[in-house]
Amino acid sequence: MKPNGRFSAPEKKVPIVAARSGWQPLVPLHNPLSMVKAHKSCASTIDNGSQTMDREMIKLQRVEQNLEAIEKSLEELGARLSERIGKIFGRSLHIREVDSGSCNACEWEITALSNPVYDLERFGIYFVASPRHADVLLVTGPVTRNLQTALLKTYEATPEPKLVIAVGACACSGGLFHEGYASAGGVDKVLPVDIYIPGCPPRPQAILQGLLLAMDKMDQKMRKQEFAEES
Amino acid sequence: MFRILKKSLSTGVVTTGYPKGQDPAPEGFRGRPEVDFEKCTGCKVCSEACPSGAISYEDDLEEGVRRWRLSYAGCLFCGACEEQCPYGAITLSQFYEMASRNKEDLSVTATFRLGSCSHCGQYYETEREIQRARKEGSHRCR
Amino acid sequence: MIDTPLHEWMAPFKGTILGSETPVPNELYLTVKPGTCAEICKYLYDRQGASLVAMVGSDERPLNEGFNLYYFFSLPSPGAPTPQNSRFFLNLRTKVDERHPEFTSITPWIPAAHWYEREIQDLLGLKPVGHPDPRRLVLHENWPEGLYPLRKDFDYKTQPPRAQEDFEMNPVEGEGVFEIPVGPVHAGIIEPGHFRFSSVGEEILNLEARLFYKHKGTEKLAETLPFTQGLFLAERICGVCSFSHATSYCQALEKIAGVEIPERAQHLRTILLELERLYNHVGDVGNICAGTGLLVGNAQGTLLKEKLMQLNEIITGNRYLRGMNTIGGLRRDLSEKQRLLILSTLRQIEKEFKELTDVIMFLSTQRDRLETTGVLPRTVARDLGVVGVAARASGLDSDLRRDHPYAAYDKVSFKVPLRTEGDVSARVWVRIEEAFESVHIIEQLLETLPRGDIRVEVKELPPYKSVLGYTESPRGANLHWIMTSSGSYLYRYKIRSASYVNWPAVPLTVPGNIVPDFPLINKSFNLCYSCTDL
Repeated sequence: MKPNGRFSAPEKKVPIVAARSGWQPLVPLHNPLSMVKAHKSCASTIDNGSQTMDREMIKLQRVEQNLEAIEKSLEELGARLSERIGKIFGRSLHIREVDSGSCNACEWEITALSNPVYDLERFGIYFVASPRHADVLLVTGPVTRNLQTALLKTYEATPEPKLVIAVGACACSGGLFHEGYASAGGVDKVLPVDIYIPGCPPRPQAILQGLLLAMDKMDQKMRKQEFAEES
Repeated sequence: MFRILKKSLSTGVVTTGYPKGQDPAPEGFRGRPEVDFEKCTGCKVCSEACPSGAISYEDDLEEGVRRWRLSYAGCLFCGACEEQCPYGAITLSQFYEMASRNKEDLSVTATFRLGSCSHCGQYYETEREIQRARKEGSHRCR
Repeated sequence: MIDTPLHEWMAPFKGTILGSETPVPNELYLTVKPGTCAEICKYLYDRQGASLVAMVGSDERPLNEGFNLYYFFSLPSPGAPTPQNSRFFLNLRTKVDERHPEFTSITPWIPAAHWYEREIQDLLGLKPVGHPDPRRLVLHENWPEGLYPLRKDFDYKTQPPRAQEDFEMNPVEGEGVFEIPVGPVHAGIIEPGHFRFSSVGEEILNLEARLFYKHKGTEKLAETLPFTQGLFLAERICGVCSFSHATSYCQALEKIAGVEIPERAQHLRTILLELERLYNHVGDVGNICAGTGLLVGNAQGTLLKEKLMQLNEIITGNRYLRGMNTIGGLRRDLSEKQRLLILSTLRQIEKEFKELTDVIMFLSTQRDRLETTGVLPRTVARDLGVVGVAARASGLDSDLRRDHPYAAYDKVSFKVPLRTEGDVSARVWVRIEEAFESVHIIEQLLETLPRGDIRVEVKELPPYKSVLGYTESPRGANLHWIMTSSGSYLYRYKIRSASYVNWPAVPLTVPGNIVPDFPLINKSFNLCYSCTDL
């Protein structure tokens, strides 16, 4: 999913955590290996059997093999890094909360997580003041027109790796407001969402379950259900 | 200062055991709607009652089926569907741990066969609802 | 009640009144000639002690009525022994020609009208001539010119492209003055709003607040939903005033339908309204301690609030009392076991809250921060039409529960606390005293709870009828004005919450204080951005 609006993401290097967050960059990346392959196939069409061409083809083949080896090791590195990030996220999570138009019930439930009964900090989860310090953006509300730019800027200010968690019916799907003249219809219309926490508002325990799911400390309990009449 | 200390000490530890212990919602909690497909006839009254459009349906007149869908992502847990369902097929449970990594896991879908008119052949209602109406001799009145 | 002949106090304007009706005993609707409304409003405000409580614009061109403006005033009933004993609502209705969409602004004389007129300008395109601050309010600079969402020819789902205009904030000039912009995404878990401080060192010279970041189009959406589903929308205007808004909505439609809800339902509604007030006030006292840095007070206050929220969940199935109201009464009854649970929990909460406030409100560090901070003078509060806790802390004695009784408030006795200092400490003390009064009210109602049904059926509503529904929410008076349409839909739904009226007063209490005191002042008002922005 891509962010909408006139806001554009900066040029990205190889997306190591792309698999985890489902983030697709706006700008297509230059993949050196595919460029070399394209170059090779182009060269082979004009191959006239000369020695220069043969040397060129051998050079291209060597470059291609090297690039393939680099790509393989990058993939392994990416997988190990994802696992490492999961372990780090599993130790502590710093959250920046953004209200993009909710009725404030979700806000008060998130605030309630800091009270002595739920005590979020015992899990290593903290609310931070700046998106620059955050790992997770906790977003509530259906993303109103007036706040859309601020939300996108907050997302962009949050450094990688990051997660986006949508809390409440409005954030998950627009709730009652859907897509209207002042409502985008949910956070996933504007940002890539990693975890959805339904509810109106979700109980503090439900939000806690969602946060622990983000840290891989709890399992997801929801599965799609299907029913079909037998013919 | 000693009054504050006395107050804090007398309060003790109040932290919930969740998630190590269970923390069930109280009776009467408006939690996840559960559908009993033995009772449901696909009559779509719930979809008309739902204020947020979390329950929707689509009649596929070529294949002769009604596709019904409930998405917990859009559900307000208001209980309008439970109140309006003529057959008590949808009830709000006490389950609340609904966090999910994707929206598909938050949905319940059902496919019902549509019955066709014996005169013109047009599909008009689910077969289950037609059979029920014939058996009970009544339309869907509450 | 209105029992004095009309001409006695409207004598100077007899010739301008085109029609009058009284849809319910304490509401009087007068239709007046176009162009005369501003004079009548000034007269009512200056000479008759009226306060402007709402102003609504409505596009009635499909009904061949052009654009209409409705001015709502709260007036003491003529002949009542004291002004508080009996008040009524007066509605002045006037037409605006669609070929010349302008009207005379009353803001220069009645400052309370300022936001209503700017809102009507943004959403309906009617220009208030003579308004001192005609900048955009509800629709920000990303909205293109010439499109007015509340007009009937605009569809709710239209999403026009973003425009690239600028918004001008009032500049403050001088040596050493610097601007601190804060928001809309704030440092804590709070709703979005933009604050532009102009300060010299730590002391604030000026604050300008810009809201409506949460404008979702609630009023327009209400026109597309059947009235039964509009109730769920009313519950979601705000989280912490949820039950009050839902009750205002239901009361308005019940008046239009002409039904009286059963007495048991009236009592239960009042109990739930007071439970909402109680958890809000207890939570606010805990929240204020977060503003002063007294974390013990914050922890204890939020613990008490959590106990009340859990009580709410046991009684109603939702921590914010959602899903209980319906048009015609309530959806769920209270069992004997729940009644006893409420009584025992409240006794415990009352005792613990008393212990907490006795400790924290007399600490010298706490008093030093709360007293004389963020003073709202009485004259400013009166001019802006401030309501609720903020008004009662500044010496304005107004409370809808006593002045315009609704639900079962006429069957219980309670005191309305009043303070005159107008500072943060006064607002906190008003909340503390009201919390104890709420416990007292709930106990009286639970002792005298009548048996019987909790609901009457309301299947349809007469079309094109309008009436006010109102409640005193934890923040102050909220008014819902509803005009029904044909079928089971609404033609116009205007929501005027307490926060909408009180927000303009907040920046006026800040100059002279230091920057770290602003969060404290904000928390002492504790207004909802969502109720304001809709």
